[in-house]
Amino acid sequence: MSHTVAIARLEAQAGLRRGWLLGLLVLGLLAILLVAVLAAGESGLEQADEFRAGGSAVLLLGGLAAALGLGAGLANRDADGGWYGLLIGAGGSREAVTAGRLAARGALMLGTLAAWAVALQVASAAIGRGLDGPLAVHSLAMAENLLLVFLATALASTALGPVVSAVVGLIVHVTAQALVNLQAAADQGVVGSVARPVIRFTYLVFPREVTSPMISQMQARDVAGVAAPQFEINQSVVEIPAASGGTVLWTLFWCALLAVGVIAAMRRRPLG
Amino acid sequence: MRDLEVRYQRGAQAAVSGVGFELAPGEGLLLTGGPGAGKTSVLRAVLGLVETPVPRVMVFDRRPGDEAAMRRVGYAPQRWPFTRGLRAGEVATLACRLKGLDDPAAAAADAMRRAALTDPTARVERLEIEDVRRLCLACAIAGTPDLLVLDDPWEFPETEREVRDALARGAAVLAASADPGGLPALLGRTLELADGAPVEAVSA
Repeated sequence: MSHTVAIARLEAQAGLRRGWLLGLLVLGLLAILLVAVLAAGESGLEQADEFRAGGSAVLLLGGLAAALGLGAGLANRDADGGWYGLLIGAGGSREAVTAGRLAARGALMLGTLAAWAVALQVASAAIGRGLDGPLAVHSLAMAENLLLVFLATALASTALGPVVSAVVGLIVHVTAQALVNLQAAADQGVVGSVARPVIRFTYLVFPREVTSPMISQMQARDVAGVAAPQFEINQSVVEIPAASGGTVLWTLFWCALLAVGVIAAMRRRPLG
Repeated sequence: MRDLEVRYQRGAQAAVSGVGFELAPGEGLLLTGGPGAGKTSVLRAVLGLVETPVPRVMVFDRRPGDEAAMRRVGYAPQRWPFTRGLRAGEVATLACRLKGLDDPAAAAADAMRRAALTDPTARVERLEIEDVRRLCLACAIAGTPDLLVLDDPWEFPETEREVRDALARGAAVLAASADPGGLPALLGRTLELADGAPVEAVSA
């Protein structure tokens, strides 16, 4: 067994015993149960909208909590406290220790999200809607978006404390969404021509939020709830289109870049 | 190690400067000094946990932090150096696995027995401070390291026995302690530090 795998396995075991993560997982499942109960009282399109809006809110809010919590705890405290030092003093390389911990925490975050996504499908079937394909695709889009937030938070944690790292992760999430919104506004001619090249440049360079077709359509009808409130600029409603394949790949590329950045940042960091 | 200099976060002031010593097989050295004297920083430099100019620090003719060199080292950190959620036995087994020992679980069990750790199944965040120090000792003594690095070790009878055994089999022992007790006599040589610099040459 390689050092990275051994460290990842143990880190995942430790993560599964942490009260806050288990509590969050259970809270998300209870919220999904509540969403299903509320949606069961509706029918037709209203039921679909209510169920999907509630489910999307659970994935976004719960997923953000998991991504920020797991990312913010990756490096700072354990690096200063001696855990990294103990593992490196035993013969693990900095790269193996960091990659193992990063992989385990990423897997815990995606696993939590997957548990909620499966619960949503089970709940959808239980209230007579059958399996929900568009919601499954939305769950995948959220997984990519939250992976980006997790990795950005983890990178921040190599230099900053947990709270500030979580704030950085939140800023990355908001910025990635804002870039998509502003580009859509520019495409629809709602922003001035002076700002358009700047928006285009930042849109092309920085990571972007992946918008699923389901949430795009719901947002256009203003029924997406907290997961995607309608976006207005200069008193005009902007329709946010579903992400293209290019955006999916670009954000994945940024995820890979951030993961490499985390490992590189830990190569020279002083350890306790 | 010669003329060691350690700076944290590229700080203007060196945490350690002008420290140098050699440790041959079977030799011991105790670093002493008050809090902030630079003892732990010297140990971190030996382990590659802080950046130091190469080749001022060499461990088994390799740069500090080199994986092959570190597998010959047994390290016991100070304070509480674990991550939450693990059991004591899991920590020791992982340390043995990273050292490349053939049967990590058996090696960890042996090390914990030698360190007199009472409950290997206990979660690390629930360990009494005495067992924390014993678990650190177990991680250090697992296998047969050629260099023992002990940061602020508690003077259990097991610590004394393991240090004696290590020196007898030809391993080097480097320890740091603000309150050395019987360690100077055990290790033979002492280097006192103050404000990151040697107070005087290594004394026998």
